Amino acid sequence: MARWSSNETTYNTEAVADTTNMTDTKYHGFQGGTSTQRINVLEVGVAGQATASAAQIELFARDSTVGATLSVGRFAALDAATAALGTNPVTFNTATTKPQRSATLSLLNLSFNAFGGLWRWVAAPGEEIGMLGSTASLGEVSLSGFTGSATGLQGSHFIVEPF
Amino acid sequence: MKTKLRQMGELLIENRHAPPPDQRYIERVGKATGKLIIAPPMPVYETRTFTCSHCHGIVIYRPQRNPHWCWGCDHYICSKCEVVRKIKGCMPLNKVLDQMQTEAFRQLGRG
Repeated sequence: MARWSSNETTYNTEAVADTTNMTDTKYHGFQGGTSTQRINVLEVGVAGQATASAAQIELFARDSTVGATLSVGRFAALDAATAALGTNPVTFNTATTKPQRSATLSLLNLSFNAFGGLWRWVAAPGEEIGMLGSTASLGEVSLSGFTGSATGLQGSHFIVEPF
Repeated sequence: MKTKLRQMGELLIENRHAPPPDQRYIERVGKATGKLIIAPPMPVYETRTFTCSHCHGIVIYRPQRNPHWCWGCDHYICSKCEVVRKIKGCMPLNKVLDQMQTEAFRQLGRG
């Protein structure tokens, strides 16, 4: 299947606890397009854009409350010859019902300095993170700052493979 | 030939152009919140990771810690899932997702 990129070009993170509403434009959310859609996450990458030191404590996690009425963000196929999907998954950072990070389903847990720092995780083939549908807790993932994280400007991308 | 190394993902954390986050601060946050937070003290940190077959959590591969291996699905699993496996047996998340997807399709067909 084809690979697609979900990305947020630039946003300020904030410290938000588990199972607490995230603030609009301060996270990178990604939700499946339909109730039956399977998606594999192949890669997660973050690059700091801050102009001063900003310790980031970041979680890439499943959401126990999924966002509703989403702003549709950037989502593009990596290969020019990729056929359009029946229904696109949604990249978002604004929602009427705010997403909440699951307290137990953290998938990646990392710290770096947003002042020039970066991190990138790549899965081995067949070892990707799986998503299903568009409801909690398997249908949505998000990248956000955890309790104690400083506000820091950054950009992020997820490389995904929707089925 | 299949090897265990074939399952390894890769993680890179780079703080080459700025100081890495203060270790004591990160440890304090980790203790206060009960989370294990990874914050390497060196400017460039590159390591192998594996995806837990039972929950899809990403775990840093440390061979000296003898990571848990599930003979049922032939994959590495995390410590939490190892406890569950001993009680309930092997249940890979991909299998669960397959079953849930089949059920979702069935319900769509009924609707």
